[in-house]
Amino acid sequence: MKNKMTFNFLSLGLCLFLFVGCGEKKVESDKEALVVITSPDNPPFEFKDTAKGGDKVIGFDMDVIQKLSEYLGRPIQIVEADFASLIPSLQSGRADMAISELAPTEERRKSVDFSNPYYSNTSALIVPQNSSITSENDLQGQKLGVQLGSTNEITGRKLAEKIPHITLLSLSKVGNLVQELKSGRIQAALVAGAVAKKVTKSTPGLKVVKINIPPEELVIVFPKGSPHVASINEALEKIKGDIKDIESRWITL
Amino acid sequence: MFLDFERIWPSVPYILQGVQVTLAYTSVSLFLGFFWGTFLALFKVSHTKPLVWVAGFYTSIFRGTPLLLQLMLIYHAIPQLTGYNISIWEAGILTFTLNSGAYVAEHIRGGINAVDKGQMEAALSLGISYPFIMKDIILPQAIRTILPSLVNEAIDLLKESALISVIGGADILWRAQIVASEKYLYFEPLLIAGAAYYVLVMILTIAARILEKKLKTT
Repeated sequence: MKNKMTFNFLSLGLCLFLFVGCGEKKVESDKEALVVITSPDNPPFEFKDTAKGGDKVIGFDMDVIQKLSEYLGRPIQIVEADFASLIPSLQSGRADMAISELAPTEERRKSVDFSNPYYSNTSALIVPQNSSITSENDLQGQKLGVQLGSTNEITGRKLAEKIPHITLLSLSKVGNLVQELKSGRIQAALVAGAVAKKVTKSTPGLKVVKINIPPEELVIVFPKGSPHVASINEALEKIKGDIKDIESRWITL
Repeated sequence: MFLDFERIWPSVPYILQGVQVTLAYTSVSLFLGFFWGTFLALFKVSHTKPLVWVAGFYTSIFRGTPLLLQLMLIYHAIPQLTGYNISIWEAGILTFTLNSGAYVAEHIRGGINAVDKGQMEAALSLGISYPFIMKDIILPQAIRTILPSLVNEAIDLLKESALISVIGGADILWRAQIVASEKYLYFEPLLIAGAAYYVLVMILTIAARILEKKLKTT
């Protein structure tokens, strides 16, 4: 009786292990497919329509990468990761490239390579509906939230140099920033213009404030010495018109 | 405070699909961790000093550092050091098994020590060899004594498996966060994830109580 039970447990565990092991997506692909890593928590750039099952990542960046894949004639495989592990994943060879509203910062340049810019990402502020902030100059003495490692963190730092007494709070997701705004722990959040639009549309009690700051360029990120940089740059040049179309589909400013 | 469940409702199935992922991580790691822990416990109660030291050092490492750190190290360092591209699933199972094994080993060691010394002496005087004494006499009694703490370990593991979301494992918590970032609503998906974990833990608790009763009567 006891032996039978142990056996049952053993086989149950084994079945589970095999079953789940098979279901797991293989990161190593065949030589053809380019593995693209992204953090699907950032509408409208990369996110999931969870009400429709959420098994596909959609958004502006995804359409750009799809167009690149069509142009290059190479299939792509999307791998999902947390924003903070995108660059470590490139370094450990888990993916060929990352696209996730990433900016070419000097700090990143030390460990990865960049493509040419594919989009100029304007920034905007999200503030509570009743806020007195009407431009970036009103941020003096205020607490400003930015997404950790995003283009807006760079813009936020530039703002903090220009305008005195801004306290920057870097959080890992835009959703966290919205939550902080709602609970009043920050007075404004600096995000991409497209994101600001999307947030204020779906979250009552918040509004967009435009700011007068030059946009940051978005790039595709590769492991150091990647052989794909040149072909992607060439393809980006060719699909410029398509990117305009993709922009009009996802980004309404 | 005003909660907007209406916008979350269509995404609830997406979050609940994480239940099977969470259960898979928990059950497989618990299962493997139990055997690994038994193995380590035998090291700990052995009379060969180096084995005791090795097991002691192992436990001190895995109990002395945060599980999250172990997970991130295993996931990110293994490909860089060995060239083997460890998947999220493998990294999760490996970390949870190694970590859980360290805790289970301590429980089992306690259980073994709780078995009356006379039994070992009696069995030895009957000429039964040490492995068989352990397997057939000591361990079955030890495990019955520590069953409640093993259930606790299972519950801990179930909740700690949520750490897999940090490296992108699509469990309950990760899915809740994906919905949160899609809708810019935080409380609602997290509350649903919390309810899912709570129900799972309750089921586990009740099942353990039944099992405990059964073992007591046999």
